[in-house]
Amino acid sequence: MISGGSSGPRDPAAARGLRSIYRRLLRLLPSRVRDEYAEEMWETARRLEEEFREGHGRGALRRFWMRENLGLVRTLLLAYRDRGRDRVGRGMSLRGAAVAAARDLRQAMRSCLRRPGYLAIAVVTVGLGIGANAALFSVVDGVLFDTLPGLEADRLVQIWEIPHGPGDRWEIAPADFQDYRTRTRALEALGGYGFTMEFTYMADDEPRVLRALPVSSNFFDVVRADPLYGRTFLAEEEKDPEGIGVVVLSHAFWRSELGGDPAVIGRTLRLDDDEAVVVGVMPPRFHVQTRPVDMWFPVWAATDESWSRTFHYWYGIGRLTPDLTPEDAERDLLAIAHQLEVEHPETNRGHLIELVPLREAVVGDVRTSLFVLLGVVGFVLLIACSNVANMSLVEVTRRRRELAVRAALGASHSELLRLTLAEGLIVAALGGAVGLGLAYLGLDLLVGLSPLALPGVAVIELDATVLGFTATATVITALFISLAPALSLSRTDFIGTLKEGGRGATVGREQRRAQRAFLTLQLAVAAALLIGAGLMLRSFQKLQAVEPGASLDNVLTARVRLPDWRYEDEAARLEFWNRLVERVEAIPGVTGASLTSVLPVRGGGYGSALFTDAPNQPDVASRPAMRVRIVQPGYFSLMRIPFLMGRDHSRDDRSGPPVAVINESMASRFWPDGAVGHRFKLGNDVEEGPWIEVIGVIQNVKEQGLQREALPAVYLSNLQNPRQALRLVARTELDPAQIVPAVRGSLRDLDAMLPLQEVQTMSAVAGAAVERERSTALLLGIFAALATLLAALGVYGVISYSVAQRNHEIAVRMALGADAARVLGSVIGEVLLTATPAIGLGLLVAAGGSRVLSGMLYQVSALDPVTFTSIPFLLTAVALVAAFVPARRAATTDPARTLQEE
Amino acid sequence: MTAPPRAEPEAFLPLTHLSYHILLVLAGTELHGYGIIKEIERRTGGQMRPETGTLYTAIRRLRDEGLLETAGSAGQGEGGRRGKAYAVTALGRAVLEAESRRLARLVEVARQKRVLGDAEALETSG
Repeated sequence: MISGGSSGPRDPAAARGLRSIYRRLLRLLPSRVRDEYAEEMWETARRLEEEFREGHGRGALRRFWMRENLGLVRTLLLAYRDRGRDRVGRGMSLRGAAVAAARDLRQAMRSCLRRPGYLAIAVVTVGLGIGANAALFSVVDGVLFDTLPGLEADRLVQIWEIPHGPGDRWEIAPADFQDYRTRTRALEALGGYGFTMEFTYMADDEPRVLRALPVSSNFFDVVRADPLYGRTFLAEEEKDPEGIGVVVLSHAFWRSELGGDPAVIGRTLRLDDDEAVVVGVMPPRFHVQTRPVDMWFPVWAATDESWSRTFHYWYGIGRLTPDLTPEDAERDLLAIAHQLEVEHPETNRGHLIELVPLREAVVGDVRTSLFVLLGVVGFVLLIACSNVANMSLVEVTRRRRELAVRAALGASHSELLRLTLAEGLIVAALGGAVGLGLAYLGLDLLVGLSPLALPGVAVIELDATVLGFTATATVITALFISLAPALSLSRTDFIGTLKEGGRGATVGREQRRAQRAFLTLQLAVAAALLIGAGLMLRSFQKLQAVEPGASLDNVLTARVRLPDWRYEDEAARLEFWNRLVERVEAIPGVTGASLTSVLPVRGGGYGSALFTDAPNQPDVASRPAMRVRIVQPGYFSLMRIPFLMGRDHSRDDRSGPPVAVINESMASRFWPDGAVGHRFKLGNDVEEGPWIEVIGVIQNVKEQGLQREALPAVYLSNLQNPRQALRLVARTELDPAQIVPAVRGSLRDLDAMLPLQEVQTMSAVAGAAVERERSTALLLGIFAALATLLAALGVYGVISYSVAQRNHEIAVRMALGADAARVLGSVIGEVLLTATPAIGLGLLVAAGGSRVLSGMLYQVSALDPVTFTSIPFLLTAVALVAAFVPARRAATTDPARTLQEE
Repeated sequence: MTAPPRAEPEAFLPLTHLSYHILLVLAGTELHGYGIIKEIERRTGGQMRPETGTLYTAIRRLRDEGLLETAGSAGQGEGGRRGKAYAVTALGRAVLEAESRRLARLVEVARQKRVLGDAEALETSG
């Protein structure tokens, strides 16, 4: 339509480029205006240019076209506005536009359905990309944004005391808490809760341990949560130091244990030997902690000034005064902390304060994993999109004749453009629907496998936010996949196509460049993702290979807790524990049983300060802390934890002086020349408590997960310190899960009121400890594999197409004597030419991005040489395999036949 | 595409600066787009030289309103170039007159208020 005209070959490149933009812009005019004026405008502009070229300098030509283009853009806008007005004027309006859009969509749908293969592959590709995004986004949405629903959680902060500099967070001491509560200005309200407590609740003769959270009376007001029924706590209820008093129930407990009866308000519940009156029921999903609780009861935090500044057990939650930031509040509380330092130097010296947004405190470090994974699925979608874009680019070229005929029959460029966009929209919309379906199916799997060790309180579902996100992703996808073909269309000269006989065999250089660019993008992204997955996998392997220092196979564990109202004195407790071990050891298939307060790998337990008889005694302020564990004699041999020195606890220790087994870390820290026979004291006061003698040293056991090195620890004998709650460990000949009923039976025989809690095999405990690493590696692996598959499809597509394009050339070369190997070689060369720089680019991206992962890696560098060298080979191999099928097709071409067909 | 002429030329007023110049240039002659641009440039002493896009937007609107029409395909001394030449319609002529009168009245007001020296005022009315 717009003929070339003579362009000045010696014109500066900038001017030539601007001139060609002018021509392209002309094509975008509404068809009526274009038909009438475009050619004339081009002529006029060219004449002005000629005159300009003669009369002015070189830069002037560029300025001339710049000015022309600006004017033309304005013209375009005005032309479309006028057209809109005309239509409204003619009564076509929005409805008319809708009708036109519907027509475009119908036409595009028919056009897509004529090519079912293309449609299916494109839809599935997009569906995989969008599905992965929707599923992961719903997890992110649930965990990062929907946690603590309805609490206006953005204004809530958790408060920690920092006793010894950064990194060491303590709960607040109750008396300090009261001072903060009355003096703070930056917090509109300050409330808090203590350690979760457990009570036995008898439901239908089956004892059930329930978890109850002691809270300040204003707790629910601070978090702005209203009860579903009844009320929350009154200020005066906080002052009652005796017993539980009143409780507010969680929705889940109310439903499952009390049948969801609204008349429950005012009813009395029996908890252990205490009674509590129900005053309220909270709505579903109300939780402030990581682990849900069954009920809340009010406590008076500070009762006794003498100990309440040293015993830290209170979690402070504050609501920021409007318009203040957490930093403001932290400054305010720090000022109070300094006042307290002056007022109570003996307990508060050096104690600072730290504020953490509550949501962060609850969500914890899952956040990094989630954002990494969200980024990864974003990249997967990018690959999927560029794949489909590439396919539709090929499609446009293949359909040039069809499009040219349409153009000849009067379809304008903009109509064809609309058709392409409509096709992109259809593919994206169908893909989005498929993706939502996949996400729906995959989400249960994702959450069901609990792959991210997600906070238990997050609400994960495909809700409106996720739908909105998916819709947005779909629209972006539609634009992305129609952009390349649309641009290609705007450059197509249809008349030329028809003149060529519609063969359209020669693909424009630009289009081939676009295809290569897409392919490069895909391979680079796939390389980067594979590196990420590879790093996580290596890290996970290293973790798996970590020796915990104890034998965990064929061991069953379960927790048993003795309510103190029925096992008040030590003798009764010890009696019970001894009989429990005897009973379990008598179960057929059990080779041994013992008790411990802290399991290997799982962690937990408490720490204590200590004094030793070592000569270099540190001063009081920096007294070291120790982990303290309680074990039954025989525990170390049962878990196959070797002794380096000395002996285990024995049955005779019951009546003897206090003794302890310590671990290697502790021994080497205080008594590197031999610890056995040395003595230490636990606690804060050197005048109080007995000296404890070291009788043995065991090899270190990893107790706080697998990554952390063992902390210095002492193991006291349960015979000397009979505990209220312990973990039973039983080693079995066969599958430990099989003895669960028998263990349950033994416990029931001893005390029918005691439930067996947290029944697990030790292997499961160890598995759970690396759950987050395992799931991150697994998910990253799945997504990287998906990305690689899509990239391989991309390679296959582009090479197939390129081979088909070069069919004629290949046939001629073979007819002239080139052998199959050479043809194969040339195709492979082509693949390597694109793949090598692409993968190199991917490695660079990965090297930059893997720093994000470094916090999640265990004993693997973020630039791990093994990963960074093996992945390129792997991906190159994948690319070559993907290219092999079309390459072979090319190599086995029968030149005679191909040339005849031509 | 020509809309039915509206009876009152005054309904089209005021014209944009460019539209007025186009009608003025084409009063009594027929020109291509290129010719119109050159003529406007000459008459304004090079102060005004519309880009092609702007010019054709104005031409399109003037045609849609029935103030311009296409003349025969031969322009005035245009050396066989393709393209249409444009001419003012009867309505266009009436609008041009009405706009000129409106401007003249404005200039008269300006002169009475001694905004202008006499010589300058004479020049603009040309």
